[in-house]
Amino acid sequence: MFLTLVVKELRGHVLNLRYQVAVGLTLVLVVSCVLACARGYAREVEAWRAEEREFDEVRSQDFTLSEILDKSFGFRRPPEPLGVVCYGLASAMSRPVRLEVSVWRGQPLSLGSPAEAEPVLAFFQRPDLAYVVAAVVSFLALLFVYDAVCGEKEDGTLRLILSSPVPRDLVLFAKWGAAFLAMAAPLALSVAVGVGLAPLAAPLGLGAAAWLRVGLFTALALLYLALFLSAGLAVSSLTHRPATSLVVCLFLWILLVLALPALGSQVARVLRPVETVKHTEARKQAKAEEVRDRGFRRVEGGGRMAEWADYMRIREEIKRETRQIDRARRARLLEQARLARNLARASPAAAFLHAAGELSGTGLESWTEHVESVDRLNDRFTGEVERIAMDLFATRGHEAMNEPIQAGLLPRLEVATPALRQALAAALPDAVALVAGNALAFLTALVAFLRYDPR
Amino acid sequence: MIETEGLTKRYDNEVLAVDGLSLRVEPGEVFAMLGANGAGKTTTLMMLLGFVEPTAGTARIHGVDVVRQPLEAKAHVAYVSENVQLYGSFTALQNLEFFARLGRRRPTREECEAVLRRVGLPADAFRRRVRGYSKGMRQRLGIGIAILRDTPAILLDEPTSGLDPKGGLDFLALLDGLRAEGKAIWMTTHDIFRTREVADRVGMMVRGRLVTILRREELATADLARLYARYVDDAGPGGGAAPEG
Repeated sequence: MFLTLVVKELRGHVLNLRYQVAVGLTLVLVVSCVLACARGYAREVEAWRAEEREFDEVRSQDFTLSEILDKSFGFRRPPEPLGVVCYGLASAMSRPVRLEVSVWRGQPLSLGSPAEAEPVLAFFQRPDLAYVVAAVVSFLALLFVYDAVCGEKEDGTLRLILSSPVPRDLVLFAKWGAAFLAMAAPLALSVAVGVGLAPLAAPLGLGAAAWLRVGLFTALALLYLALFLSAGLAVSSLTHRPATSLVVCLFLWILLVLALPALGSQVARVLRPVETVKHTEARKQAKAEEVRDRGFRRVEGGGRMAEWADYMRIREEIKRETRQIDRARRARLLEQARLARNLARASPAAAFLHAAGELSGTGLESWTEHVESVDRLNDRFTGEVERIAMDLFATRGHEAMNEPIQAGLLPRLEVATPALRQALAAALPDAVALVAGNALAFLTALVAFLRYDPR
Repeated sequence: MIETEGLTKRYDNEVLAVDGLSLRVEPGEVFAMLGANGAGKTTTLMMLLGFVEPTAGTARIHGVDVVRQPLEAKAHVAYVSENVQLYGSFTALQNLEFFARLGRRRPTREECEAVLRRVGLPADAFRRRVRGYSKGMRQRLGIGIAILRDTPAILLDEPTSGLDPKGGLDFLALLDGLRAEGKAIWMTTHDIFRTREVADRVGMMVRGRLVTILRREELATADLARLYARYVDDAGPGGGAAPEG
């Protein structure tokens, strides 16, 4: 009997113009979006290569110690190929990083991009595949089922069905199952076709692991689709006229997809404010000057620097103090971003986008990992220069400042991408939120439908 | 057999829609319930179908309590509404097959076509989408579903409403056939002329109460039209209590 109901629902969908338009729209949007993102990726790779060539040119030269101490060195993480699926914080992660060995003005923040200041809102800025699923597929899902129950009541067919010896829960499961099958198949197919065709627009070089991530993203998208189908069925089972149901569904969509994610970010900014990059830089500079002046007054009494060791001690103190300011800000920023993400989990769209970002290596945890890798590089880079300087001073005394150093031997940025297991762990809370939302919506639909008056 | 005993429905707004209805429709009997709008006829049908929960009393279809075992009770009854609505994008055969399957039957294509012929649908309409059907054709298809489900009881809600004279006559013939097959048939109607033709017993319902029952032999001599008008007049404007009956 369940199969009979599912087949009837599927037949009804397939013959419906609304369904045919929805399938066509999904296919066109998903494929064109992936291809557009792939072309964007190709342009980013080109820009990254050009910049890397410049950086390499600088790094391939020899500099004296005094030149190195005054110079800044650029590094840039390569663009993330899975950014075509979910761009997320890819922009923030692939920004050039400039490292300075000099500490006297306080080292600049290595990641002072706008995306760093708004790591949550950055998810909603680019119409990538994840965004198409989050915004368009959810909308289509609601449009697809808003009249599944109340429309049948208005048509008069529900009364005929429920006068048959068929359990109501079975009717609802069949409606949900058929709607899911009818929409999941074209969505999964569109993602496969889109990502499959993407190499035509850009050499993504996706390996088995990346395809596994695409598969997991698709599963996540289907979970998200299921949630909106359940929500649409719940609304349809709670209303008695299709027009009312449509209005409620539209309101629900605006709330869940547009309003709540932005609201989460705004609330987090109020509850966990973070100072601006400019303000932090000014504080660091002031702190560096204060430590420097105090240190110099202490060791030379206003005169010339006495010992190299004294100089290094002052450097260390400035580094420590300014890093502390940097890290405190970053910790605060991360705290704000995580709070915003947790608040935004009330929105399935935000939960989906965050989980998709983690799976694509462009999520908040990936960004955190990247920021930490830049921190590590900063430590290793300056540490290595200081070690060379100490060695040179030990052997060459004050002549050390004119000794050549091969910049190419200094440490480079290591691209840190969380392993699949870490990505899954990071995506898990959002996936659980989607499952819980789905269960809640379906349970609401079930309770409402069991009590539904078909007259 | 369709049976009610002290069946009562009082809505939340205290309106008494059906008041202690006790009735028994035997196999091979057509029972017609007449009454003004709001008299409680449809509410009674809705209780028999399990769509409305009785406030008191019991209702049984083929001996099965409709409240305690609703699915089992529905397995023994077919329902044809006043304005039969089917899936417009499906053909007559697809609709017929689907609803028969919901009624736990698995008819062959030949059986379906035989039923459609029996209810008088033209052969060229069998594979046409129901969206283009007239009301009379949909009504015939609705009766076809009831025939194909082959249940011992049939509930008909205003089945002749909107039918043309030929459709009405055909319907009476179909009802005769179903009675001959031993079905217990309960119909609500305003159509006193066709009721006289086909019903074995006629009940008059006023403000939720079954005020009189006329047998077939009494129907022949009774001035049904006058009787009906009198009861409707007695019920006053609106004719009854429940909003939909």
